[in-house]
Amino acid sequence: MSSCRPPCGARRPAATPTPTGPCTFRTRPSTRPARPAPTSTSSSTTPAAWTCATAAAFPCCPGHPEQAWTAFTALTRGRVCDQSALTYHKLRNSQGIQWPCTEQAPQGTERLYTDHTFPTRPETCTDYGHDLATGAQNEADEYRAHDPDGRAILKAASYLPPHEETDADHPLQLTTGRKVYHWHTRTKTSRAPELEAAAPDVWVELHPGDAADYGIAEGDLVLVTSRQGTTVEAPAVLTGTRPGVVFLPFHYGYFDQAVPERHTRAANELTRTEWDPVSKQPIYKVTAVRVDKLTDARIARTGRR
Amino acid sequence: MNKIGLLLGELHDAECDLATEYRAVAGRQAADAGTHYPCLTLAQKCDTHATRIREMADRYAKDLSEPHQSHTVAAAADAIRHKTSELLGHHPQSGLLLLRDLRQLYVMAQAVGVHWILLGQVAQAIRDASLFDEVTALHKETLTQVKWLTTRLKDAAPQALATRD
Repeated sequence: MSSCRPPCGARRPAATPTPTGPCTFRTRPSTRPARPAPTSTSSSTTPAAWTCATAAAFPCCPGHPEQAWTAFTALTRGRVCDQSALTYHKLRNSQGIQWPCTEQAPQGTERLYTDHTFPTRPETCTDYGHDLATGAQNEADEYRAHDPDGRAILKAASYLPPHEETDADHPLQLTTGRKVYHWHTRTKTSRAPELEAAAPDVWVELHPGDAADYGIAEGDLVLVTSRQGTTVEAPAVLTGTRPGVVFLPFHYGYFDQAVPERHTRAANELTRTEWDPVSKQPIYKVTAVRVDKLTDARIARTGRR
Repeated sequence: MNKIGLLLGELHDAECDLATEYRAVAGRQAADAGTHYPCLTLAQKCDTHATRIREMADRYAKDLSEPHQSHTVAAAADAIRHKTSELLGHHPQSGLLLLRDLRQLYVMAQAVGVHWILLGQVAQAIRDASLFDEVTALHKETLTQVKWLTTRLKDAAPQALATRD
C-alpha cells in the first residue's frame, strides 16, 4: 500500500484524556474505581493505515474516500436528495452546502417547496404512508385513488395512553433524554475536557414535591428501578418541573468504566423493548419506575459517614 | 323478530371475540414487540367498538351486556402465555406460529367487517343518518386493523418461510 495523507485532512481518533479540573457533580464515595489510563500513541494507527482500511470497505473505489464519495453522490442523481454536484472541493471551500446540490443548483438549495409542490404524486413518492397507531401500510391503489396531486399531506393521530402504566409499586414516570453537554453515548464528547468536566456522570432530576414525599434531599444518592429489573444509581437534582415525572440523561453507559459489567448508570436500560410502529423509534419517555433513597448527599460526596 | 337487534348482537360478539383473540396473540407473541404492542392497542379498539355497539343496541330495543371476564383467570392465562412466549420466542417454529396467529386474526377481523357492511346497508335502508355515519367510521377502523394485519403478515412471511432453519 502506498502511504498517502487523507485528502480531507482527517486525523486518527484522539487518545482518551485524563479528567482535569473540578467536577460539577461528584456523585460517588471516594472508593469509586479510577478511570482507565489514556491509550498510548502507536504506529498501528497512522494516517496511511487508516486510509487503506477505508479503501478496503469500498472495493469498487480503490484509492481514497473521495472516490467513494463521488460514487455515492452519483447514485443520488435525479432523487429527492440529489447531491450529484457536491464535491470535496465545494465542501472544503464553504461553510456548508444545503442539498439538493445539482447542475441546476450548483451552490445548493436554501429552501424547498417554494413553488408549493411536494413530491407526493404516486409516480414520485417513495412511500404511500401509514396508519400512525399501528404502522399499517397504505396500498398503492388506494393512494392513487386519493392522489394528493403534489400537495403536502398532514396527518393527525388520536391520543393513545402508554402501554406501561404507573402503579403503587412503580408510581413515577421516567423520561430519558439529552443534555447540552454530551452527544449520545459520549464516545466523542467525553474526550473534550470541558464537556466531560461539566457533566462527568449521571444524575436524576426529580420534582421537589415528589422528592419531599420520598424524603429525598438535593444530592442524595437514589436508586431508580423499573419493571425490567434494571437499576440506575444517581444523585438527585431537584429541578424537575412536572410532578410524577423523573428525568435521567441517557448519555452514561459503561464503555469508559473500569468495571464494565457494573451497569448502574445506563438510563435507557430501564426502558422496555417497544418502538413507534411507523418510525421504529424506541419508546424512551414513559417507563414506570420507583425511586428509593440510598444514602445522604454528604456521605455520597465524601464517602464518610 | 328484531333483525337489526340480532345483527347488532352478532356484531357485538364478533368484536368481543376479536378482542379476546388479540390479547391471546399478544401473550403468545410477547417476545415480538412489533406484534405484541399493536395487538394490545387493537384489543382496546375492539373494546371501544363493543361499547359503541351496546349504545346503538339501546336505540334498537336490544339489550347487550358487557362480556363477562374473570379478571383473575384472564390475568393468570396471560401471564402463562407471556412467560412461555419469552422462553420459546426465538424457536425456529416461532415464525410459522406467528403467521398462523396473524392469519386467524385476519379472518376474524374480516368477519367483523362483513357485519359492518350489513349494518351500513341497513342504516341507509331505514334512513338513519347518524347510525350510518357512526357505522362508516367504525367500519373504517376495522379495515385499518385488516391493513395492519396484512402489513405484519407481509413483513413476517419472508423470514418465516424463505429462510433455512
